[in-house]
Parts: sequence; C-alpha cells; structure tokens
Amino acid sequence: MIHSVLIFNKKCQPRLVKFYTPVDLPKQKLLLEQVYELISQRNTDFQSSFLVTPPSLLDTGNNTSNTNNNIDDDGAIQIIYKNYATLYFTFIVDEQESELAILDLIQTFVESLDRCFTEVNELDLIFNWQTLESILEEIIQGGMVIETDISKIVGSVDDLNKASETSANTLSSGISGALQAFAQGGFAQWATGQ
Amino acid sequence: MTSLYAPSADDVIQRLRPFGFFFEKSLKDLIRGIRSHNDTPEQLELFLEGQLSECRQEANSSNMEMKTNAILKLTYLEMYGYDMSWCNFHILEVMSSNKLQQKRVGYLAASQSFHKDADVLMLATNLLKKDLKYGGSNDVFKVGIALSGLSTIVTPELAKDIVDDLFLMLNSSKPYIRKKTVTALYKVFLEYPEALQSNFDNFTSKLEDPDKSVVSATISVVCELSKKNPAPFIKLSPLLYEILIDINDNWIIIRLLKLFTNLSKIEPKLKGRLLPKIVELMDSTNAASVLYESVNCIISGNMLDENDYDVAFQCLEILNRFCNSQDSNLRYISCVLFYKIGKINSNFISQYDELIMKLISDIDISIRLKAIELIEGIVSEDNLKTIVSTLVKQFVGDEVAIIETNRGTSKEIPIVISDNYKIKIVNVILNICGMDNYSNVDNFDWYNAVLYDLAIVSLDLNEDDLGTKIGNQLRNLMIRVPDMRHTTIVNIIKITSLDSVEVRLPTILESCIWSLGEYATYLENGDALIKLFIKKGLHMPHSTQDAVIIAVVKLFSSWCTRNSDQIDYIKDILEQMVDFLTQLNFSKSFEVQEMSIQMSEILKLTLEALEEQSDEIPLLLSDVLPSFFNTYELTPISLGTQKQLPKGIDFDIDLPFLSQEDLDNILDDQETLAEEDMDIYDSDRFSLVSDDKNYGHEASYEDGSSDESETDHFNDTYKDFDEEKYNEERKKETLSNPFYLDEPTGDGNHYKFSDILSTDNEQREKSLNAMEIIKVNDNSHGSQKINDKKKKKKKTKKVKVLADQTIVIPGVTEVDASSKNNKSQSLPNPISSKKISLRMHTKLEDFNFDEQNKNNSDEDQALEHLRSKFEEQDINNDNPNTSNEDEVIVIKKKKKKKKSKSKEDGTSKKKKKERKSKEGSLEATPQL
Repeated sequence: MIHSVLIFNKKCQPRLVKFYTPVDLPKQKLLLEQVYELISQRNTDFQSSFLVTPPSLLDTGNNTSNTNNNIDDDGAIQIIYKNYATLYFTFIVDEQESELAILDLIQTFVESLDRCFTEVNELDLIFNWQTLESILEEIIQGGMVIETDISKIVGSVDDLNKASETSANTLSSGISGALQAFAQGGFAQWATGQ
Repeated sequence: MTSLYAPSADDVIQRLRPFGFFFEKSLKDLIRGIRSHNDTPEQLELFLEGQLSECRQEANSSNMEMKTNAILKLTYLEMYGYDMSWCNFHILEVMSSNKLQQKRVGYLAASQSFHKDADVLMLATNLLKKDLKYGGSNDVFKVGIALSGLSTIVTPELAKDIVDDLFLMLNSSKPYIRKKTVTALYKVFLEYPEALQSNFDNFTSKLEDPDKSVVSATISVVCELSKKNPAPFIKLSPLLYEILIDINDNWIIIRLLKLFTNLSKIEPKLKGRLLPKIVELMDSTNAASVLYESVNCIISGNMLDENDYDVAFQCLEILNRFCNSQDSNLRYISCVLFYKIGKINSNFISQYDELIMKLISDIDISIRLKAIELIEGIVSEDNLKTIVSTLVKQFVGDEVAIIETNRGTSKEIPIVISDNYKIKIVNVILNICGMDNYSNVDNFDWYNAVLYDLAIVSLDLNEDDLGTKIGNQLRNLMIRVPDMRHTTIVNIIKITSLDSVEVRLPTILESCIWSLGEYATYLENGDALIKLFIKKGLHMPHSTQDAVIIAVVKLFSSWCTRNSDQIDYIKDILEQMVDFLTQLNFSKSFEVQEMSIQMSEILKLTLEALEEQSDEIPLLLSDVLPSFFNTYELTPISLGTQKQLPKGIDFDIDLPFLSQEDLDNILDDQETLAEEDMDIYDSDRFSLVSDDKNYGHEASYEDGSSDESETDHFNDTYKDFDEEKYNEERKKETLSNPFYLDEPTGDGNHYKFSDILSTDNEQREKSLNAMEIIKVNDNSHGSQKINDKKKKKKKTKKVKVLADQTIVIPGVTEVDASSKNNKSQSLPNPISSKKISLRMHTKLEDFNFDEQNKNNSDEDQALEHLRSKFEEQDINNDNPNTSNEDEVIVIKKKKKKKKSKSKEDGTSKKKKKERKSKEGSLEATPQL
C-alpha cells in the first residue's frame, strides 16, 4: 500500500503531507526533512526516481514488532519521487506497489491537477491546498489506489464540489437532479472561485 | 456548545458580522501570512504560534462557519508539525454538520488526527453509522466522504461496530460508493478479520463487479490482504486467473501479478498454470511496467527453479534490454531483479558480466549501488582485477555525467560519489577477493597492494567496520598464505605506520598488531616496532591494547633470540617494556589489566635474570619466553568447530603428566643444551619453570583438546618422552629454529621435519585412541596435518592458501559445515534493512481462517513444514538415510490430506467443481 504522499518544493517547504499509516508528527517532520535531504542531493536529469533508503532514514521509526518479517528483503519501503518544476512529488510505498505503476500514478496525479487548474504551477497548489487534498482523495483512499482514470478523478472532484456548494447555499434540501446537471466541467469555475 | 472563552467576544463578532467585519482569517490569509513571514525559521514559528492561538479561540466559537474555518486552518498547520489532537471534539462537531462543505473539512481533519484518540472515536461511531446511510439523494457524497475519512481511522472497536453498515454499502447501486466501500473494508479486515471470514463470498463477489474501478479496487484489497495472510485467498486462484486472461487494463494486470506473487509463495502448485500464461503475457505486451512485473512475479513468486534455464534467460533478456535503456528507472529496478535471479542460481547471471561491468560505471550512483551487489555473481579469476580496478578508480571521483540539453548542446555535471557508496565499494572488494578462500586471487602481491589502497581510502571514510574488515583480511593473508608472509608483513608495517592511522582508522590496528606479533620471526628490527608500540600503545583503545601487550612480548622474544649479543640494548628495551606494561596495570579494562600484569611479571623475572648475568642472555629469555609462543603453528579452523567440542571430558588431575623419569630426562636434556648456563641457574627456579610448562600442557588439554593445534601439542609432549631417538634432534630444532621460522634454507629442514611428524601421526593416533579422548577423523581432509597438506598443495598451486580445518569429533553431527557450504554457493543476503514505523502488525496476519477445520489446517502446516524440510534435504543431498525416512512420512501425510479433502468435498457442494479441478492438479503432480 501507499504509506505516505509528500509534496514539497526545492526549499523543503511542505505543500502537502499525507500519511495513510499513522506516524507521530515529529517523525513525520523528520521523515520529510530526511527525504528532502536525500532527494536534493540527487540530479533528476539522469538519476532514477527511486531513493536508496539509507539506514538513517529507516531508523526514524520504531522497529517493527514482528521482526520475523525483516528477513524478507523485498519487504522494504520504497521512496519514489518525481520532480515537476519546483516541486517534488514523493510517494512512500511498500513492496505491494509496483514501482513503475507508482510512477504512472504520480503522472496521473499531476495530470489531474493540470486539468483542474489548467497549467498548474506551485502557486496554484499553495493557495489551493484543499483542492490538492480532494483530488488526492479521489485517487488514493486509506493508502489504496481507487481510481487511475483522469477524467473520472476530475469528474468526482467536480461532483463533490458542486454538491458541497449547493448544500451550502440551499442548506441541504432535496437537490437531487441539480447535482447531475453540474457534473460536467463545473470544476474549473469552482477552483478559480476559491 | 457554548464557548469557554468570554462569550461576549463571540457576541461582538456576531453583532459586527452584518456590517461586513470579519475578524477571522481565511486559510488563504493564513497561507499568505506564512509566505510573508518566511525569512527566518524563528519568524515563521512566531507567526504560526500567533495563528495557532487565534485558531484555538475560533475553534471554541459557537459559530459553525468560524469553527470550520479554524479546523481547516489547523489541518493545514499540521503540515508544519503542530499537533491538533486537542481539538478532536471540535472536529467531531464539524463532522456532524449538515453542510457537506463542513463535513468534508471535518472528515479531512479527522483522518489526520483521530487515529490515536480512542475516546473521540467512540463518540464518532454513531455519527459514522449515520453518515453511512443513504438518507436523501445528496447522500452519495456524504457517504463517500465518510468512507474516505473512515479508511484512515479504523480501530478494532470501530471496525467491529461499523462492518455491517459497510457490507450494506457494498451492494450500493453506485460504483463510486462500491469501490470506496471495498477499499474502506481493507482497514476493517485488518483490525477485525472475523468479518472477512464470515463474509468472504460476499466480499469476493466484487471481483466480478460490472464496474472496472470496483474490480480494480477489490483486486488491490485482496492483494494487500494476501500479503498479510495469503492462505484464504488460494481458492480464488481460478477466478483471478480468468480475470488475468480477460482483462486488458495494465493497472489491473500489474495488481494481479502482485497478487499471484503472494499466493504462489505459499502454493507452489499455482506455478503450473500461471507460468505459461505469464510467459505468454511477456511475449504479447509492449508495456514496460507489465513486462517488469511479469518478471518480478516469476522471480518473487518462487516460480523460477534453479534449473529453469529457459525461463530464466527469457527473463534475463528482458532485464538486459531494460538495463541498456536510456531510462534510469528501468535500469534501476532491473538491477534489483538481476540480483534476485542471481540469488536463485548465480550461474544464471554469470554470462552477463559485461552488462554488470557497464552498470557499475553507470552515471546514476544509485544504480551502481545496486549493481555492485551483483558483482559477487559474476566474479571469476579472470575478471577480478578488472572489476577491482574499475571500482578503485571510482574512489578518485572525478567523473562527470554528460547530459544532452534540449538545445542540442551537452553539459557536464560532476558525479558526486558519496561516502556511503565508497564504504560499499570497499566492502564489495573485500568480499569478492576473499570469496571461497581467495580462489579468485592469483596474485597476492596485487591483493596486498589493493588492501593498502583500501586502507588509505578508508582513512577518510570514518567507518570503524572497514578497519576491522581490512585488518581481518591482512591477518587472514598472514595465516593462510604462508608463501606471501614476507610481502604481507611489509604491507602490514606500512599500514600500521600510516600517518594518524590510530586516530582515523583505529580498528585496523588490532589485527595488524596481532599479526606482527605472531609472525615476529619474519622481522629483523623488532626493537623499532616495540618502541613504536610503546610510544603509541597507551593511547590506543582497550581492545587494541590487548593485542599490543602480547605483540610487544612476542616481538621482543623473537628479536632477542636474533640479537642475543646486544645485552645492554636488550636490557634497555626490556626496561622500557616493563615500564610500559606497568602503566597498563591500572587500566580500566579488565582484560588489559590482567594481560599486562601477567606479562609485566614475567618480564620482571626476565629482567632480574638478565641483571644477574650480564654476558649472555638468560635461559628464561632464550628458551622459556619463545616457548610460550612458538610451540606450534596457528592454523585456520572452520567456524563452529569449538561448538562441537564434547562437554565434560573426564580426566585425572592428580595423574602427573610427566613421570619423574621423563622429567629428569628433560632436565638432562636442557642441561646439555644450556651447557654452562646451568651452573648459574638456581635449580629451584628452573624446575619451577618446567613445572609451569607442564602445567601449561595440562591446562590446554583441559580446555581445548580438539583444536588441531592442541593435538600438535600432544604430539610434542609425546615425542618428548616416547621417542627418545628423535628427542635430541627435535629439541635442537625447536630451540635454534623455532617451529615455523621460514628461512630460505629452512625448507629442507621443514620437510624432513614434516616427515617426522607424519610418521608420528600414526603413533599419535594410536596413543590418542588409547586415551579415548580425541579421534581425528581420517576421512576428512581438514584434519590432516598441516604439513601433509602443505606438501600436497605445493604440487598443484604456486601460491597455496590454507583452507579452514574442520575437526570431526565422533558423535557430534556436522551441521554447521553443510549449511555453510550451501550459503557460499548463492549470493549472500544483502544487509537486511530495518523498517520504518510504517509497517504495523495487524490482527489479520495471525488470524486463522480455517478455524472450523482446525485439524485440516494443522495438517496443512505439517505438510508445508515437511515439504520445506524435504526440499532442503534434496538440495543438500548429503545423507540419503534420513531423507528416505522423511519421504515415507511425507507420502503418508499426503494421503491423509487427500482423504480429508475428499471428505470436505462431500460437505461443501458449492465449491465442488473448483475443488475437483484442484484435486486433479494434485493428482497430476507426482509424489513430490
């Protein structure tokens, strides 16, 4: 499963920190800093998207209670990242996720963002953190990938936003049909209206 | 809820609102604030603290909008490390809002902060149950939000309470809800596996859902569940196989391959059906990710036997292609798989040496890091030097990566070689050179030079482990390669006297110093080394001091016998040594203390003797001291030999080791040898000394007695009195020419000497047999005398390398050796990595799904156990008797299992068809 999604910029300022496995806040911060430290040493022009997790990073957490699993060398945690302009999109996953599939997923995520914001840049994501959260929520739920189809992802975010807005305006009455009507292309308006 | 803080303030806000006054900041304002206060961390922290206290007040407000806004900001601030669990009850309030917008904020906040707060989760249970029900038409989204939030906060209690509501949702008409429910159920099953047991069919029916997203989500969940506990999902294999054949969505195919990997690990029979299909998939697909996962599935799913050369090469060809691609990601992951294939059978990858050589010079260091782990699989005598020189060159670190930019020009980027990587290189070089007792090294001069280079490099790496390892290699060379000792010892001296080595790589010294002491006879100017060690010794770590103390005495003893004419100088050195050792008498380390006291006392005696007699070196110095160290040669002994020692050997302490007659003989001997010295010697002291010596024999008889060298020891002893005709000659040998003194002219003597020893062998064995303490097994080559071995080896190889000796004691099984051999054939495991706290132990892992047929599952386990045991023996194939015995048991068990299976067939009609096909396959496979 996916344990965590981290988005941060080249100055290690967090843009999104999402943990699907409970991790204490100080450790979250430490993890972010260490991942940043490792990634910033790399040259994305020619280096792969996979971080070789050094022991220092792995020691930040408690050692697992079931040590018998440790013998399996494929039980390792992988850190997979992609660099887009000023931002790093980092996924921390276990061995049940395919490395290449996660890279595709990051691409899907970014394309979905691009579709929502049209020409997405860091500034968009800074000021629309909640949008970032809701798009991610439609892709990953509790560490599992639930949707990989970009139009479906954007569609459900739009639907949800329409529903939220209407429920806010009309104070929750029967608005069944209206929802479906808003389903198409409503997102962009909502996003810019924020 | 009324606010705890000044209600009047709230009233004021309410009053001002209509006029357009907003006191609270929106999230946007907060973010703007963060950006404008971002100059220093202190400034930012100050600002955030201020914002937090505002949020705290706002969260207490009775105004729902304000509260929601505050919660949203707090959720955002958690990203900066500010805990928000204090406002969990406020979050709960926001969650229960009727407005969807507020509910969203509430659930988002809850998913981040509820997981450790059991109290608030108890309160949230009812709310969740309510939110999971369809009420109005808008509820699709409400339910969706609740499901998303639920997925990260499930606790065992909550799981139990909520599971029925979730199963209702599973039949929702909306695919959106179904896929979210399936995913939410994953966490519930982890905490409450009983739910999966009782609703297994209901849940797995979603694999056949008409909506692809739901199928995909279900496969993902089954895949994750099967990682934790694969057994219950084996029976889904036919259905999953059908999906694999029909589907054309790469994402789902990849998940299925992962799932089959998990299942195949515990059910080897799957291989028969799956492998052809996967191979077919590999031929037909164009997607790199599917190709990669297919190979991964074959390898990780244990579908590749060590003899499946065809499949292995098909996989390797794909990996080869990936490794040569421009995409660094493909190169990286292929390296990892290469390694795994190599682990199955290192012959698979041995022909890819060129590729691997290319990969260890890849522009991406992380790929090199993976590739150097492969080297062990391809190394041979022919390419060892090339590999090592390639690696050593990388230490220089002036490589550049040439990157083609968009405009067609290229730029150079220096490749940064991290210390981490250098440490790895040193380790790998040591490993590949030392493999199989140096079988790949044909030139030990070269290897000495490499070790020297590695030592120099390691000076800057600040990794203690490397020093120890290089030191061990040097010591090993000294012991195992007798012909090269002259070169090696020079190398060791060079390394020991490196500038500031005791500060920058102190761990290398222990083995080096030990070697210098042990092989002091190769050194001319031991006095210089003694002085060096005395100078530096006091500031060394305790473990090294240990080695220094003994080494200094050994050096001294050997140096004195060579320079016996410089009495005054000897005295001078001796005084310095006594002085040095006395200082160590008060060391904090117990070992150092004990050792230094022992040695300083002996040396004090020697000094006394030297002072009494000033024209010749005393017997204590010329004979007694060397006899401490030179009585027998050290040989490498295989790991675990000591463990095989029989415990509690009986022996008679009172029985004198030497009879009075023997003792007299020896004394006579000594007299004739020492000649005129005897007069000066106090006869009391002399007898005391020889008593000591005998006691030494007896002591070693007591504690070791299976050590090869100990038997030598016996041998010596026996010769001393049993074979008097050799006695004199032998004595002279030992006195004038210490046992292992390797002089150019000494070779002849050596051989003669070894002849004597080998004739002794039978004698010794007889006497030993008679004593019934130790029997040296003639069958094992390891237990032959070193000298015999030397003779044999000399004929075949120019430079001989002593192998580990194994000593076989009757009645003690030789388990260690066989398992060790196995290991050395395949690649060793990489350094097992500790996991981050992300991995949690869940109830599911230990949950037994077959509780009602407990006997059956027990039998399954027993079968599994036997199967693995049998396989193990099949590989070892060393003891036909025991494996035969096991075979009988296995067959018996299998029959039992079949019977119970057919019984089961009768009871559950539903699965009859499936079972039948399974049974068919069972019958098709021959009896293991």
